[in-house]
Amino acid sequence: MDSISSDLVRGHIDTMILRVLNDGDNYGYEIVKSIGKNSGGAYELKEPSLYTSLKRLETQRLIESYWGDESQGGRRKYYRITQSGVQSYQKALAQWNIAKDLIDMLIGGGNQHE
Amino acid sequence: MSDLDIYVNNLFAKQKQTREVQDLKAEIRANLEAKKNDLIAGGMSEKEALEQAKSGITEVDSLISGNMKIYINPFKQERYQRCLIYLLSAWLFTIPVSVYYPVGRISVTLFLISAGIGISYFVFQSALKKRPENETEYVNVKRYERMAKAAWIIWAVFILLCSLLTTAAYFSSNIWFGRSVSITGPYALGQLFVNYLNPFLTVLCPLSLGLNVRLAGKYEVRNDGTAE
Repeated sequence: MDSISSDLVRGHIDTMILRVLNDGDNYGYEIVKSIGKNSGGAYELKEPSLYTSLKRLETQRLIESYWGDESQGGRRKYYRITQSGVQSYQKALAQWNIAKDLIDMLIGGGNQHE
Repeated sequence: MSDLDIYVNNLFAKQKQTREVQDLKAEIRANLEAKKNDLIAGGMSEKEALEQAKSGITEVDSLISGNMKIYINPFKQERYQRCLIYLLSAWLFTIPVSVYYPVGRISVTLFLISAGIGISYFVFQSALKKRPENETEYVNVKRYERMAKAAWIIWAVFILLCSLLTTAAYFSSNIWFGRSVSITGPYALGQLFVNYLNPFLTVLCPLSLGLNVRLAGKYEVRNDGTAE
């Protein structure tokens, strides 16, 4: 993914993570994997961004964390979406749908009026 | 210890081992392990999988709360300059009153400290030419804030104690022994003021520590793309 498009995506990382956690509790690596899968392999969330975003979401109480059972690679930290996290996700999704249509009208389809 | 353990330990080697840092370390370690195993399950060799997992995270400075990336050289430069200004102002301030005990000595001490800092400033400046331009470093602003706050509290307690002691020295014999307070002339009155005001010179300490917080904000590296 080139830098320009990653610029466009960057502002939505928190929402991407909320979306994954809206489907169920998860831990870091699986979140990255799910996001990759959701993008059909076109986007890969970088790990520093993941941790920064998770910390921010937790501070805002949109998600909360708990430690899983001892697994092979030590204990995994799981994240769970909170009630306000679900609301925040739905709000972000609605806003995006409006913005998407608007931006499409503004910068897309420039040849329509020929 | 596995290769992954060694790698994660090195990542966190220079971090202060707070609870937050230990949790982050455990979290990153478990995620890297999961990633490595997943890559191996996908058909990668153990060695390749380890390298790929490692390449995903190469520093943790930006993930520690309170950490701020700053342009370190202008930060240090201005900190030197401001400290020098503080010290020299204090020194100038003491000169006219140095006839009083013990201001003369304090004045000399302040001058010597200024000279010392001045010299190390020049050493710093000349070493600067060999440093890369726009060098950045992470500093922990939360720790700076805690240090400055602690310094102000200690200073306030110190001032309170000094004022109490001075008051006791001058006026207690009046209260307990009925001896009247004797201020025999303008010089004695001046000495009384000096005794009260002297300890306030130590305000230089918390002021200088506060510089860390203010200057870190000023020289913060903004809008860089390292987060993503």
